[in-house]
Amino acid sequence: MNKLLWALFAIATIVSLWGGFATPHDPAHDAWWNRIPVFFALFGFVGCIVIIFFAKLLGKLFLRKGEDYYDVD
Amino acid sequence: MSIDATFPPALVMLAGAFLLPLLPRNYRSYFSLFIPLLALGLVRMAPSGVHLTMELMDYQLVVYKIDRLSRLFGTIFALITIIGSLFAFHVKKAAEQTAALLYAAGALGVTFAGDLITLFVFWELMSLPSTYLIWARGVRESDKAGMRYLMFHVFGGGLLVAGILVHTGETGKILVEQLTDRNSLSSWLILAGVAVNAAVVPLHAWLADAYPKATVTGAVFLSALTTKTAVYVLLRIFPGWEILISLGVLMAVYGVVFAFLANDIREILAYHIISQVGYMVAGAGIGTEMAINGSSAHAFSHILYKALLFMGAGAVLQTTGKSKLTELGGLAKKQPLILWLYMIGAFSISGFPLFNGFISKSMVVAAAGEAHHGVAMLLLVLASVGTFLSVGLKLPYGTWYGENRGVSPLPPPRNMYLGMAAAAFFCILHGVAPGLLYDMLPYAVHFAPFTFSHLVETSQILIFTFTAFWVIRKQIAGEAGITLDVDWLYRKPARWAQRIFLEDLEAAFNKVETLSMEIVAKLSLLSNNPMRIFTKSGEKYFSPDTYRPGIQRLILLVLFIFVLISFWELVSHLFAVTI
Repeated sequence: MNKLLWALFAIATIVSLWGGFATPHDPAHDAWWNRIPVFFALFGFVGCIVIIFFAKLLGKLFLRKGEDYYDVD
Repeated sequence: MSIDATFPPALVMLAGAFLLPLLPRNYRSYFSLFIPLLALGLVRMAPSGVHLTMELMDYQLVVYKIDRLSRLFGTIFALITIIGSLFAFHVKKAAEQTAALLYAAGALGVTFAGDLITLFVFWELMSLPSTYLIWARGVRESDKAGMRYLMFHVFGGGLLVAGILVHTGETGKILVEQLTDRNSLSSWLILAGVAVNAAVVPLHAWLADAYPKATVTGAVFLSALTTKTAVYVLLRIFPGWEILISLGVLMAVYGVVFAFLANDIREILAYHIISQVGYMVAGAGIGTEMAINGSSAHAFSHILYKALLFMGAGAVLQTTGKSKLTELGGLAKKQPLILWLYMIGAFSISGFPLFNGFISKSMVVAAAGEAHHGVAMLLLVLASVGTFLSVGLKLPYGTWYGENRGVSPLPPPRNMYLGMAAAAFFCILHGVAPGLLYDMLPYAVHFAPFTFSHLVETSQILIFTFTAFWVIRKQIAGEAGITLDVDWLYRKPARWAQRIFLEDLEAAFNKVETLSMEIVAKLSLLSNNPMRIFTKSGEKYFSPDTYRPGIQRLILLVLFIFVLISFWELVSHLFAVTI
């Protein structure tokens, strides 16, 4: 079952990436990112990692405190 | 007034709220389903127009006015009250059921208010019952968070009423209509008051603070009503206010970042309310027909899937007593139905094709693109990456998969499944048949969600967000602790203020009191024997015997002289008589 899911995932990935190349683009009207066929794949991957590490950094520097932070003095 | 199609639905809810506690215990839950159902029927049947006006001094109040925009919001508010009541069917506490109906009455009242005074009255009506839904949890932290929530909303209500008073004073108008004057104080005050309820950053901290501490069932109503009535008012009064675009985008990204840090599953969802409402606020700021349509549609979708997510997280809390990622894990085999119903909500909020988030979120994003707000558009897409990451991957992974911590859940009441299934049904219905939702929107829709490029774009984002998550999934487990937010600015100083003005002041008073008592005690030692002050001698304590002989002699002497004088007088008197 798990292998089947991974196989479906692989097919979806290939179709989706192929779709990026197959989408017709109009260079005159499209935004620059729409002209890059795999832009949103990169955006999703990099964006996800950026959010994770940016949040973790903020948490480490300022935001994460112990459970009883507001109760003890 | 007879009940016909033009009877105000808010008054039906209000009457229901007052009648409910009078009913026998076993009928109340049915009644709490029937009342919002009746209200929904009225919202759907009422013809557009003004149906109820009242005189108040020199002003004419428009209590019930309905058009396409308010009908859409009224529909979803009534619908979610039915679904929420179904989820809360097992709750037999009259106070909680009444609070839910009163809260919904407030939301419907605001939606159908044609003038600012009516709007304000119903706006305030929402705050107390919603606070009760937090307090009803009955633990110390919900008591305190509920009070902070109430204080914040009193503050927001104050801004709103101040704005309304200044506006009415300046213009003499009380009707709810579009405000366009960017230089008027009253507009900014009203905007700030509404922004509090819309949880616009940086006025948002009450939401993530209080919602995770509400009752399991109360959080469902909370997630649906307060912020979305505020979105409605923004769409109604402030469409096209450019500042809302930046604020909305900020909310979308801010909510995502903070949600990632949260450990409590309902706090993750609460931060994603802020994030999702950001899309709607940005839509209001863009202000084009497509953006207003997008915001309205997204509010409708969001209420359904967010309620579903809160119901799923609430069911976990109800059945395990736990709500922290660091305490949960490995529940997938034990509660598969809750998992799958939750995942329908998660697919919806993440914008999977065939779920309702796909057909509404993309409208706001497309409206941003159409209005040439390219950066805003990309940031909104980035926020949707973060949404899928937290709500669609991290939360379910940590709760139902991940490390098995041996949590053994009890079976939930069956009505909880029904409530979740009802919300899930609508999430899928609108995802599959978007026309059903699009037909209700305020303007004609010229937007096709199922285009090849949109499907490619969405699938690439989702697939590669998942890939990134899978690669580093080991590093992003929940961590124990809390996340500071701007509520630090009033929670910490409150502690300091308490320390300075109560504890330190009391300590100072106590010190002065002790000191003065000591001085008095020392002084009182002197009064033990005042003779010592003058004579520097004598016993420590005054004893009358010490001085008695002297006084005896003095008195004796005085008496003797007195007797002598008396005798002398007597003798001289006698002589005077005889001579």
